[in-house]
Amino acid sequence: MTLVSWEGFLALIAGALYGALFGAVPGLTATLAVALFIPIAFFLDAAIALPAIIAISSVAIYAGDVGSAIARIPGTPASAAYADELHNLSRSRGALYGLGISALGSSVGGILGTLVLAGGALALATLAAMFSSFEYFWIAVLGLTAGVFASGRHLLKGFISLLIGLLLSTVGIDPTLGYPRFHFGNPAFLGGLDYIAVMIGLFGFSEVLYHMGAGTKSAPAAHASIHRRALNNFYAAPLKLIRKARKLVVRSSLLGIFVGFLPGAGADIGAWVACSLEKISAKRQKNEERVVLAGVSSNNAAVASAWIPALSLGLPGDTVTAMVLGVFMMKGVTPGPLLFQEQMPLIWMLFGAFLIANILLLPTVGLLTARIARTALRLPFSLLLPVIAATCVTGAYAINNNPLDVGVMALMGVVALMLRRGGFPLAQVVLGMVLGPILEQHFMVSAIKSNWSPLSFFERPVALILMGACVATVILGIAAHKRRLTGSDEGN
Amino acid sequence: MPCNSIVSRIPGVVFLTLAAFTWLSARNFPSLPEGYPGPGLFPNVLAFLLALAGIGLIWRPSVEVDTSAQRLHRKGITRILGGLSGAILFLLINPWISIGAAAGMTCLVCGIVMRARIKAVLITSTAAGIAIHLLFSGLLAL
Repeated sequence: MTLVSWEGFLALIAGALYGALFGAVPGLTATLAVALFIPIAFFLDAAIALPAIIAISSVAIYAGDVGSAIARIPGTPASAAYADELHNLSRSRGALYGLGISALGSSVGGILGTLVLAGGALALATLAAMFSSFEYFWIAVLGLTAGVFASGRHLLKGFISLLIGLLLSTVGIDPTLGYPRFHFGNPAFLGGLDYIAVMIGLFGFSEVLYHMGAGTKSAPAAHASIHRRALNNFYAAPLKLIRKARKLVVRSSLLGIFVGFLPGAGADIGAWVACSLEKISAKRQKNEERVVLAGVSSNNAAVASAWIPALSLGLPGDTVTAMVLGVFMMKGVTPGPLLFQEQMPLIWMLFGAFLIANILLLPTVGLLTARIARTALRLPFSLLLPVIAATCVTGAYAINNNPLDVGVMALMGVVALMLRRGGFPLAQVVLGMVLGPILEQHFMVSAIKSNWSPLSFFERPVALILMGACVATVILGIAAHKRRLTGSDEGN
Repeated sequence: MPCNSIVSRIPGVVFLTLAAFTWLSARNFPSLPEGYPGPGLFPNVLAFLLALAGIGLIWRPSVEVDTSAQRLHRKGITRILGGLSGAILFLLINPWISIGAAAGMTCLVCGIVMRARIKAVLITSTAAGIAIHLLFSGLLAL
């Protein structure tokens, strides 16, 4: 049996290169890449169009880390969880090593995600169908709790950053009554703030302003001696790390899979919880490699698991799978449980495409993008910063062709500069912005349908388990925080 | 790193002010039928938590700030304003010229602000402008 035809294989390669380009440029996303590909997919056979979409989404999610490595600009909200660590790692040990961990960790996570997709899609989809607004509310709380405890020494500052993100998410039409909030009379704000523009401002533009304020002397030294041994740095050293931290990779991938198949922000919550767990359980102060590994494996495992509800229930797990469902409809394929009985060759082709994308394409295209990132990091800082500034304004503008997004991006850059100088973490702002609407919508829906009975939030078994996970995260987080403080006091 | 106790309390005051603004703005939001809270509930809860956190920061100001924060002087502020002017320039000239040219100008302004060698800045800005033009105007037809 042929898993993927040679035309499908070519589509995988072309899709991977196209996805790498979109993922690596700030402002361009995997969703945009797939959206622009859909008109082309209309004229292609499903056996060519679907592998291309799989390659685009898998590689674009990884390539989003290229921005983190070069300029601290995360490609997705999920990658904001480990953007600082990846940037520091790329600066201190070279872009090839940092992106090697990212590519190979993504690859392992993606393979595990595909295996679960192949083995238990129907069972997991049934579980996903059991989730109501109560469970979604608790899972958003879990993501936020994990985010606070991932913020390092100052929990209060992490909490404040999260609150700022949640406040930013209230701009625009409210999810309950459709009432416009905090739009300051400007209709352009009714749709809310675009989180990509906010992310570019928070991370990329603030980095430019930060180093401009401090002068070129503040430029972190890019690793130089490591450049000669490219293959070792990109493949051998990260593989050694993955082998050493295999339990962490499996745990984070499973977390990505089991949270990632939930429609909505599953993938983001998975990566945040995985990174947070690693930070909480860390015995050492410096564990950047393990945090990046936890985040990337969870992130890419969720790419595959987002297809679970799409294939088995016809429910989109994210925006990419929503468009995939559209492609299915165009090609006359009806997703659902019957798909696994009537269209098995198509299902095997999808699994094959996922495996090839993760085993072959991520490591090879990953090396290509890492070499480009390494070259960018070699630029003198006084030239790299202006290029980052130009990329930030273009990226923010390109999201909606809207100058307002450039203004939001610049304003967020200034806000982030002040937060950063005050020691407030930035990634938590993004988490708050992404999870805010989910939290509010599911809280309001749950409260209204239970006639505002607080007990209803604790009555369903899955909701209770998730609430228990939140409590456990708080207890473990406080214990880890105390341990960290005691450790640093002893160090001092 | 120890810092001035009044300066370290400023963030707390800022967050208290933000909380007060949020609460005042959310007062006019409508309620659900039978008096249940509506669109104002979430902002009000956030304002309350932000106010508590602000009081926490004023009561026990954190002494840990970015170590380079102490080094920001007039030159640094001028350079930051220069960087911001690069973004504003993009907004001003983008309607009249291509996105690549506008981005190239932003790059040029930031390069000058960073006091890089003018020849290197010109080459980098031109290259960045062409690359952005080819990608965004050529390939994506923005």
